[in-house]
Amino acid sequence: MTHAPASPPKSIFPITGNERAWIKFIRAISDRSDPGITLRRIQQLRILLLNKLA
Amino acid sequence: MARNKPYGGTDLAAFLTHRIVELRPRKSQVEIASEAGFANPNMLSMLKAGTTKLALDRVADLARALETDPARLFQMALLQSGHETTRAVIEEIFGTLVTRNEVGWLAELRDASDNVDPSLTTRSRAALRAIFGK
Repeated sequence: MTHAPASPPKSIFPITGNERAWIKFIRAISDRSDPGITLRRIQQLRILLLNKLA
Repeated sequence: MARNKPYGGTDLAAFLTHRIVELRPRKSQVEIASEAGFANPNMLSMLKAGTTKLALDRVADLARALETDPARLFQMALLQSGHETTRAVIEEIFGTLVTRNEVGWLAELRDASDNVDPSLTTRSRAALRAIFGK
């Protein structure tokens, strides 16, 4: 009897290649301090994405 | 890297040093060591100095004592132990290990971009540096 998995293993938290790049860059520039989310940072992120996607 | 400090300068040693300073107003290094279950209270000094490495089976308890994300500490402990291959295999099979804060960042990224999966451009990098003051 074989016990081959019927489906691929589930990811711990599935992320895309682009998202991986964002996370790795945030880790690099934050000295791996695992920065928390603040209102000011979220506002700046949204401005960044608005400009980027406009 | 000094011979008597084989793990000096690793991310884990730097993170530990930084985190203990952050927690100092609320708990001492001795209290953190005790909460983490280290019989030897000098263990944290040794980890900070890089004279010893963090055993993987101590990650969960130490993360709790440091009030930090165990996923991040586990990643750093893996790299400190020279388990880059193991880390890469874990990432390939289970996906990138992300902390709770990073899950929050990803959720914001998805929400703010209407789930278009934006790429990281030179301009994005510059803006992120500004956000994090780098």
